[in-house]
Amino acid sequence: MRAAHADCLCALLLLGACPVLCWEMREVPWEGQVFPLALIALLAACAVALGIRGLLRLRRCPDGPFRFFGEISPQKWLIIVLAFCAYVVFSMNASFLCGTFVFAGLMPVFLEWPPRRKGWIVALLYTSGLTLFFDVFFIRIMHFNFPAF
Amino acid sequence: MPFDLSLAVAYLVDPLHLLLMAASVAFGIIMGAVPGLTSTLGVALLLPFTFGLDPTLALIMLGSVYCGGEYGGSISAILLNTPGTAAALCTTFDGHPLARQGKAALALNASLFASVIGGLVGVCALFFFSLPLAAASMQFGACEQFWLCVFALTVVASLASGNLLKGIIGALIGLLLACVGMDPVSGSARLTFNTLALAGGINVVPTLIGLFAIPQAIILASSANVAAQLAPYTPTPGVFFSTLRKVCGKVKTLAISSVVGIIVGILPGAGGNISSFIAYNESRRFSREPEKWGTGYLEGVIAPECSNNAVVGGAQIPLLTLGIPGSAPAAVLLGALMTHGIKPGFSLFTENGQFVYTYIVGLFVACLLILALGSLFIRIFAKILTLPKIFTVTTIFCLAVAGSYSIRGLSTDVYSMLGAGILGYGLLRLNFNLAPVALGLILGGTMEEGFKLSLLLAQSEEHPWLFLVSRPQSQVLIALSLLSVAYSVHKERKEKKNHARGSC
Repeated sequence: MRAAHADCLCALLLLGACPVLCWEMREVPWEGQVFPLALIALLAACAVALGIRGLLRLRRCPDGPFRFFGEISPQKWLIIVLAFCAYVVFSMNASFLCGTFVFAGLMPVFLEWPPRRKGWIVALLYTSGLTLFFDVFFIRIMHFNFPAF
Repeated sequence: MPFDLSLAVAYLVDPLHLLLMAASVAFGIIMGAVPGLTSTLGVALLLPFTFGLDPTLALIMLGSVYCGGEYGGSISAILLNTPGTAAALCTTFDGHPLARQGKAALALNASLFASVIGGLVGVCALFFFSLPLAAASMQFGACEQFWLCVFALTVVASLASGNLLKGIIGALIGLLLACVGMDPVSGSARLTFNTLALAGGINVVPTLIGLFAIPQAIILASSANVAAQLAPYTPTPGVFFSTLRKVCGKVKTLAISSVVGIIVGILPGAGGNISSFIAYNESRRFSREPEKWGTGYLEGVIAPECSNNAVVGGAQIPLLTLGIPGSAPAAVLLGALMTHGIKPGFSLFTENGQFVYTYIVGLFVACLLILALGSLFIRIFAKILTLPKIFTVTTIFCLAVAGSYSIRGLSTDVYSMLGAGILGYGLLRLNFNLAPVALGLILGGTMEEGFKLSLLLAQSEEHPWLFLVSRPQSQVLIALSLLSVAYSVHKERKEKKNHARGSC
């Protein structure tokens, strides 16, 4: 996939989103509608322009490939993002400190930390230190009531 | 103007306040020094930690992170040949060659002194120019409030992204995000998709944390195991004072760079990356030895560093007077001001004069703290660069969650952060700049308020829609907005022509 393809896809997504957003405004009185509707109309116009520009770029001068995952493999990217989502859900519904400890402890595994003994000890120390910091600063000093078992 | 300098100084020399400021400056330097992290991210991450504090101290801490971050970028630019922030890119041109010649200490000290001088000049400009501009803002009514937001968004969209169309789309996305929730006039729910959690609107701070922190952390994860290789750095005795004498002797370069930094800083969205390039080019143009620039010439370090730190003060002139941020970190600072219930403008100077001037004097002290910390702990900051980024990445993820939750104690804010993070990553990969999105989100409420008030005022007019463009102040702002769009279109066309000559 090329960058111009990504632009066309993005334009299509935006154009698809505009009617949905307009539909969401149907029960709002005129005073509340006018500003968002103006924004949606502008967004649709810009999306059309983006799509046309993408198509023209495809014809004239094909540009470089589009890399959604950047330098890392899609599998690793997905693992990191899913782990973060799981951490957020677990932290907000079960236990923040346990979630932090497990997430910080698993990150070196996900990111393929060099499996040397010293490295793992450093990672364990870091994980414990980070969890302790959150416990002391947020819960004991700032008195935030994070979800806990 | 009710302001007592002695009260401000007494407030700032409180040991706890000084300690917190020093910690914020150190945090900012680290955020600036580590490639991939920015002062914007630093300000966004620290923001939730400041909610329990006095607003003056909270703002000073955030301002200190901003100041520290602008300086920190030069450390990695000199030692790694990788700019810690985009604003430090020009510093690599002469800073790293100096380091390779075994003069890393000279380059680091020169960048430190230039940063401090630039920062101090910028803060002085903020002190002297903010009040007249704030007084001028008294001429602005609801129409001008709307057009000022349009002007800010067009400038940010064109300057920040280098791609006008995507910049405008980003700003529109931000503005639409700001519309989510209850309509302030009718009280009906807008764009909530019948979700109760969205009825209260999207909280700005967690969304900013998500936009700036999560995409950066995911991108950093790709090189998380790579430890950086530093250029040799051996401080020699006496180099500190000899560099100070050399830097102070470059008055012309310091003056040009500071002025460029302040002017570019005042322009909405331009920021340190643009100012450092202009300052580098202009200083080289006025130099007696332009051919030496790029080969390890000391002035090539002084010019960009002085300029990108002068931006800090310049960017806050429109922020404090008009509520229009001059750079991405200033946009997050505006979010902080609003969260603390402080409204920028002339009333800020008349009703909260002590607050605003204590903040400005606080920035002055922060610059001096950069000098102290930079000279004492430069080795530690350099050592941090060699740590694998895996720890940084994990810490950013965890801080983003804890920081978002700590704002109101609502899990909705954490999910907003997560959503904004995923949206931000997608936009970043699609070559969108996140600054217009953030600014749209921050200015959305103000812009809609101005728009609606103008329409209400125009109801008695014969042609209500013409009321929006009828006042001379509005016409000036419309002309400026059109000018910024026209300039951006012209620049893009020129770049496209050059690119077409080179590749197709």
